[in-house]
Amino acid sequence: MKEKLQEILPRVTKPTRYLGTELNSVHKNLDEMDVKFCFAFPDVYEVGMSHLGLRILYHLLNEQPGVACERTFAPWVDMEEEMHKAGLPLFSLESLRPVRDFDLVGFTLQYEMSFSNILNMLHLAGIPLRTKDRGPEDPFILGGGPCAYNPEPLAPFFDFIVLGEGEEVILEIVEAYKQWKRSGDSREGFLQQVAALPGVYVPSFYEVLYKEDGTVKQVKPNRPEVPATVTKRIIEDLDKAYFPTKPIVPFMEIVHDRIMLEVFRGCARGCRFCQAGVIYRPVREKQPEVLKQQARELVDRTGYSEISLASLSTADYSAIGELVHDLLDEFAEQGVGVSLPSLRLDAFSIDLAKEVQRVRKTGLTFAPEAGTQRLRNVINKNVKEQNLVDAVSAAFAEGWTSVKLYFMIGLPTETREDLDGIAHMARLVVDTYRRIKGAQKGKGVKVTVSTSSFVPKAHTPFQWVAQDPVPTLQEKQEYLKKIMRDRQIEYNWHDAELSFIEAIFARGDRRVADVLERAWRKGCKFDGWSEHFHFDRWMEAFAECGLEPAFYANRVRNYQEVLPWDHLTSGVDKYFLWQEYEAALAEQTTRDCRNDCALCGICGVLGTQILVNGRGQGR
Amino acid sequence: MIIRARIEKGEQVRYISHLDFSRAMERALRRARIPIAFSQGFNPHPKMAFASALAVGVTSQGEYMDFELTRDMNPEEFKQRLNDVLPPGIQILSARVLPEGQPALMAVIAAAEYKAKVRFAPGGPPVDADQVSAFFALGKILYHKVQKGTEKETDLKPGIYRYTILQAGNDELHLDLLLSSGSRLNIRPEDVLMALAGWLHRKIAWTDIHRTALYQADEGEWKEP
Repeated sequence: MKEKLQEILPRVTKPTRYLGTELNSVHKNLDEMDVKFCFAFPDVYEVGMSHLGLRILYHLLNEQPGVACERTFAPWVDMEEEMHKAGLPLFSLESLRPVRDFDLVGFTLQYEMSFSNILNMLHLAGIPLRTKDRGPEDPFILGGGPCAYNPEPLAPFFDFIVLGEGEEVILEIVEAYKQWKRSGDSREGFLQQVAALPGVYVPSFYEVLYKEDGTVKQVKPNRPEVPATVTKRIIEDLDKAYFPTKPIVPFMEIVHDRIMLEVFRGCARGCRFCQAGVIYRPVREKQPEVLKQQARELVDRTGYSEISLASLSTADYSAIGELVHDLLDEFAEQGVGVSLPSLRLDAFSIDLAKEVQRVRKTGLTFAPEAGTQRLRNVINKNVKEQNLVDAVSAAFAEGWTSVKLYFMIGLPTETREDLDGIAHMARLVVDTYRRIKGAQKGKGVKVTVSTSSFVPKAHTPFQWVAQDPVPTLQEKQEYLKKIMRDRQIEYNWHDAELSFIEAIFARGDRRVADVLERAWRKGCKFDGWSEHFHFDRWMEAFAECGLEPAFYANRVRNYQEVLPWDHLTSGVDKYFLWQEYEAALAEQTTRDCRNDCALCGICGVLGTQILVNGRGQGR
Repeated sequence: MIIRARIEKGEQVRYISHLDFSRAMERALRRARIPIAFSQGFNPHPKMAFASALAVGVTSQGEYMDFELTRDMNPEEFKQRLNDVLPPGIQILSARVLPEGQPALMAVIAAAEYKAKVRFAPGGPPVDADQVSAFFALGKILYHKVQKGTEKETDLKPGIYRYTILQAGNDELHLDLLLSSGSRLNIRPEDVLMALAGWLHRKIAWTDIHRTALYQADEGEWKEP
């Protein structure tokens, strides 16, 4: 294997993608292990290594005696070709062992358009695609992450799915595996064992019945011991939870080349389009002292020059001012800065931004998402135009010269006025700059507007909504191009056809799995990379499987319909989501749940509380 | 104070790029709390200089870097502290204080020495030491390269200062090469091997190139920089 790689690596682009010798990578003797776990990320190395979940689970598993966790990523197309020619199967980076030799192979389900890569990787590994075809020599294939909340399009390919946060349940799974191996029981026996663990969903233990009109009639267990609904797992006390302070430091430049310090989980804002806001409830903060200690260890063990405070809405962290200030005080001398990901406009404060700038100036990104207050109320993103003006005014006065604005098009109830609103907000930023800096010769401000096409997601108030048809989305993009022709404004947009396929998988049922396999066989992979996305092949696959794509993406659903994912729950009440949907159509807003509980149900179901400032609150 | 260090790039990091190597060094400096000087401006970075960029796929025991420190430090301590935190495959082999007024590394390097192993793909006339010697005795060694769309032809001969055949036969060849290196004339070992293979009418299966040293010219002799 090693020799063949030595011949191949000089011929491929970015050979560093296939090395497992990074600082802090863990190399154990696989033959001495009780459990061999392979973490598979269905995209290339530099995308996968930016994933915080991988880091957490990789180091957590490796700290367990008798357990080894190695990594594998999707080989780029040139490497895949070389591997075929040389007869090399998909291998793990650390020991260069074939992935099929592992006991458990875990895929992270981050993005629907990575599904074709999952099939491709299984195929490259020599593992049968469908669970029913796997035998005693094959590893168990599991998956977790946001798409686990509607894994139905992947149901035939996964032995089991984990819902929610993995830190505790992954150890339970590994323990169950150890016991199962000793028992000598059948494969199904192991699946029965893990099905009994809270948060684990075994798709083959459920049958899906359909109605005449194609909607789901029922999803029911096909054996007694299995629960009718599976509820997600969460970690209640993040201060005590495992967090790796000696993470792998990749050689190559990855998407996030800095320390990722998770400051809290969950988000209380309740934006209606946002799946993460629902599935990661309730809000649980880490204490500043814990964060500072972790930061110290991370700076020491990695040598990165930037600490990024990661969460769904970092400026909402209750002690954010104090935390940023203290971290900068402690690390500025070493040349280590602090950065904040995209900030909410209503929580942005210039003092915060100034603090962050002490060591290094980072770009400014805001996500108003919709162009008018009316539409922002519909989606419950309670941000005002004045917030934008205040934020950019302060920023420009301090010396920033570029701003990035994120919006979505195709939101429910959207009209042309809302599109005009996007252009209006962009121009507002340009005008604000001119006002602050005076009429200037030279470059002036650079405003980048980026619009993605709204994809309705499962487990959100908009899960009943129809996505705009592709031609409509494309028309809207053309319109925006026309009205935002300005030297200071750059407009980017996402491929509408890609968003269409994403929407189908986001709310697809089990039948869509056949389309996925068919499309993959036609050569679809790396769909998220524009040069490899073949819309025509996907459409062929749908036609050949006798399924109508618009049925999944462009159909309005009603409350009565059984949704393909209703048997999986995030802990938030389905009726609450419907109420939020109705409130959206009435243009009414709902307050932040830290101030005003809207009875989403999660604290009741999970017996938890929102943890803010180290104090519990919630019902 | 400037510390000049000789650095090893080992097997584990053979395929990382020059930029990757540079970043790994930056992070190691931070982990070791070396008092390195930083540049001014928008995005401050540590003040360190390379002798030459090492190609992807080549290992080395003779890389050099100059590090500008904000305060004096014992070079042995510098070496020890860095070696404690460097990733596997990168090590400081030796370090010394550079006397004042010395020219930049990149400017003084004039030659590089390599150990090159080549395995030829099966098929074609057998390879032996005599043929290899004949190649190196040629008056001109023209090498064709297409770089960024333009074709370029270089004569490698003037830059090949010395060669030694360590082993030849059975489709494998081990050579020691001393080649011109630097801004004036830079000859890459890979190019020499490709030219050789072409002349022998053989195809290369794989190569293993290891840089053993870098030299500056000093009074007619090759010396460590």
